[in-house]
Amino acid sequence: MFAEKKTHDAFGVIPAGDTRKELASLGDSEVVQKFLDGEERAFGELVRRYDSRLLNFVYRTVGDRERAQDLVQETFVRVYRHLHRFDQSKKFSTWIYTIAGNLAKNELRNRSRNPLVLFQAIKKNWDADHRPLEWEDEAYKPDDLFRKRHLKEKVDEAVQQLPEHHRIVFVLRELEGRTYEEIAEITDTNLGTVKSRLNRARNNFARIIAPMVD
Amino acid sequence: MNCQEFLERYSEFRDIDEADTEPDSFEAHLDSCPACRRYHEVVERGVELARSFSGPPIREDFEDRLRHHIYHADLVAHTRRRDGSSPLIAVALAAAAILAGVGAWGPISTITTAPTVDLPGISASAPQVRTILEPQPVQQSPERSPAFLNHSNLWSESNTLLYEHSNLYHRYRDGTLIRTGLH
Repeated sequence: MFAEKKTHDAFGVIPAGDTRKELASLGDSEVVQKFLDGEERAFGELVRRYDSRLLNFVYRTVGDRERAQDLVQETFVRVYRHLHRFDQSKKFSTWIYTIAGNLAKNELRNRSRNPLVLFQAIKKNWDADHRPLEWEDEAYKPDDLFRKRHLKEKVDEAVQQLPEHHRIVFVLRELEGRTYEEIAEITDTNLGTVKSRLNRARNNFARIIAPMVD
Repeated sequence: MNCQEFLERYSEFRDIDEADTEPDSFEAHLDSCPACRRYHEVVERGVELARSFSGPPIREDFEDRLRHHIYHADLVAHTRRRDGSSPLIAVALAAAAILAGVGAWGPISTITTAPTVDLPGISASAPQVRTILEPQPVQQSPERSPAFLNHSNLWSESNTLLYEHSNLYHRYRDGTLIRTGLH
């Protein structure tokens, strides 16, 4: 939105090189403050900072590229409309991840309204929560060529196979590098729940991915 | 530390910056247990692979669509604000509704200035129906006639009209008129 060749966007004039550099050098809270002070271009900077990260997070959570794009769009629209309500004593990144996470959870909830899907999800969640933590290396290694060709899909599948409540904390911690406190805030759970889910998510992930890993 | 304990507390070891755990006991167990060492390697390698694969690229029209969405969100919000912040419009709408209601009210709406004209009354009389042939009861032997034909009211006054409009009546009447020369 914010490419140099354009002269205007929804948020005002595209930042010239210096302005853009200036915005890029600011922290999130300062960029937010600039936007609240009427500097519409600051919103472009927020979009630039978070579009890919949010897309990765939402895609890993819902497992659908097109839908993930739509949900990220919706996230930014909500940020734009409600930024004046944002409590600036908190981290902006946690807030925006919370919005995206809630949208992703709603998406999954809407999908699970199908009774069969709901039953499968409940069973999957129950199994994942109650299966004893265990580990044994199965020493099964598929053909190398096959393994390399499909490694990406397998890793993606391994993440997708995790139950929803494990998947979110796993993605936030391992792929997005969020702290336990941030994850607790984003998922609206307590620290103990985050730790427990993360441990089980890692265990499940390891069992799925083990045959692919040398 | 045994393997079960290691698995249950693995996150404390992996997220060492998040926990106040002393890692020495974990390290000691890893040194002595190949299975748990393998587990740790698998988690590390798997996560490393997952991180290395970039997610889907941002769509080319992402920015345009976002602009479009924000424009619409602004427009809707502006419309709501405008509608909500204009009491005069609400008052005008309420007044219009009241006037429409009063206009539709009967006694007021009947006050008109249209002229009235008195016209003489019109009397009309129904044309006389001339019955040419009176239906005659069919003389049949009781054993040959169906039971309903013996009903006392079958050819009574009330059934005359019904009979006169039947196909049978018209066929008999036409034949009679031809025979009698009245046709």
